Amino acid sequence: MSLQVYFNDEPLPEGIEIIRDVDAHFIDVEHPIPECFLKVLKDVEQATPSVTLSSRFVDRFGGELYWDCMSTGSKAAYLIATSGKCVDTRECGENAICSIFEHYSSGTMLMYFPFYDIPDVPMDLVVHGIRFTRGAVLDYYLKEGCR
Amino acid sequence: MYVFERGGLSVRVELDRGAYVFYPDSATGKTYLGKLLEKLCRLDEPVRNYTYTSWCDKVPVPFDKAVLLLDKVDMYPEVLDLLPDRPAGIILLDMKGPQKCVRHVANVEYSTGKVRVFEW
Repeated sequence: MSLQVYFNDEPLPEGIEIIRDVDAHFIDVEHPIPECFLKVLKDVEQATPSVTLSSRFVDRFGGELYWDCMSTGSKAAYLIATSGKCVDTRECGENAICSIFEHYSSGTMLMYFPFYDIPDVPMDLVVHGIRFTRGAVLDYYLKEGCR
Repeated sequence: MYVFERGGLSVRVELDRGAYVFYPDSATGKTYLGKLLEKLCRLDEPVRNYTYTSWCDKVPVPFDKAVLLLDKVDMYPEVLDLLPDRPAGIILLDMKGPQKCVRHVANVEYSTGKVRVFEW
């Protein structure tokens, strides 16, 4: 299985359900927390789950916040890992997108913009039906190959 | 330039009048800035955090404010057509997608109760 990445200018598979408004759909983080999401949480927020309260995480300043205080990029990462739906990532930052590319090997996401600074790290994702396992190859493909 | 420093709260928007787009990363403090602007708005400061909900509710965009943050613009990109050529204050756009009308990039530094916005 690979992370499925669709662009908004390509036809989506029939019957696929899309989460368009990430902030509206995100409610809470439920346990057990997917490992891939924890890696994005660390990359993007420099945060970890609270060890005392399951309803909170510890932010980069050491404060305990409710999960709803995460960035939209992190909320999208959680929904990609858990919802079973295609998650619209137009509100995700480049750092969140690249972290999802690096750490996810399943789930479905919809992208609007090509990102041209994809780090050369191992990954497992499918774009336009082509499987990519290295960031540098995907970066080259998005720059040159799909034009 | 807009500065509010009172009671342990510090919001410094170190920018000239004009429109700026934020550097397109997640978790940089944009939403936190928006929440502080909402607080300042309730203290009668000339600032506003304009959200996607405001847009859905058809709230007019208050371009006359000293600092106006347009949150999650990618959800309602039509607002870009409304941007004034000569803004009355500082307009900050939270958007990830490409756009042609704004040439200046801003970034945020923050800690609890303190936010600084500066040109990138």
